[in-house]
Amino acid sequence: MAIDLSMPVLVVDDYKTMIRIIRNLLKQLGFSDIDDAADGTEALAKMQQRQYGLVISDWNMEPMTGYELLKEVRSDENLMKTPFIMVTAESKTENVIAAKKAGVNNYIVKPFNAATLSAKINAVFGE
Amino acid sequence: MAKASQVVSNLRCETIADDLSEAKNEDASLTEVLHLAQSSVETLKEFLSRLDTIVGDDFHQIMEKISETRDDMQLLNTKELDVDPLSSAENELKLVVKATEDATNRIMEAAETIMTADPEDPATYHTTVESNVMEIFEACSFQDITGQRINRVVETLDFVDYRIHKIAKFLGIENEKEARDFDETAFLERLQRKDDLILHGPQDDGEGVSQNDIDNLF
Repeated sequence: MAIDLSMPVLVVDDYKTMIRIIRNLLKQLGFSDIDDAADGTEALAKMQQRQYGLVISDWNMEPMTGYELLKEVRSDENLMKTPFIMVTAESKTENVIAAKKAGVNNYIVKPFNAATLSAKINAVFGE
Repeated sequence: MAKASQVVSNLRCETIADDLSEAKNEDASLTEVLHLAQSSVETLKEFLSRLDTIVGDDFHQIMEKISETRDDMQLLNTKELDVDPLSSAENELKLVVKATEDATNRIMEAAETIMTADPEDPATYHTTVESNVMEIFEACSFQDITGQRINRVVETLDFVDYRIHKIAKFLGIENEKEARDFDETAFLERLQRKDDLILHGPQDDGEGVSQNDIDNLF
């Protein structure tokens, strides 16, 4: 599946600096339609209004975490097929396994670089 | 029962004392003096016996209170004590300092590389600027990690506050104003939330799984 660089991407993180960094890295990779949300609740509301081609989410947020968002997305028949990448500082084995069981498409540990982000996006879209 | 016998003894003493007082100009018989002495001893004995019971009860209550406090203190020794919270906080702050220093160096090196790049070769110059700007973006991600580490230090201080509050409460030296300010329920809910949602935060160097290990899982 070729990556459609014009697809809308939703970046979910409670740190504005991190949203800005991921936005810039995505722009550098060629993505042009980038939206953001400060936590799972805001992200879910946005996803119910618009179909995103990719969600890149942090784990540790309030009030709804990225893990809870992932489970909500996977249990909603309209959203369940949305590619979902977790980008987080949570690097314990139990976190990775829980996210995989919940249906995450890929998992990036912070801090990360543009090459890692690019590789994981490519892996999700089978390139 | 003790009270009745004490009243009788007191009355007996008073009677003998009155008799002796009336006969102050006469010699008191040895029998009367001995009666007075005997009554005094009995009265004193009952008084001391009552005093002994009262003091004994007080000591018993103190012992019970100490025992209760000891049990309460043992209840505080939950799994939370498995980790030294202040030592963890110290480690977090050291890692914050290191992450900040590393990021600053990365940003400065990238900026220096851009500054020294040769603009005479536009293609190379463009590539150098672009890759180093990316390097600066990546280095700025330290703010997220250090933010989470500092939050954990704040949580540790909350935890210490909570423990002091509980100990003060057990010892009856609780400051009412401070006790009202500390929301124990919210604190315990936060701890529970962390367990339920697997929120550990950033791991120390050498802990947690690497990106390579994760890639193998996927």
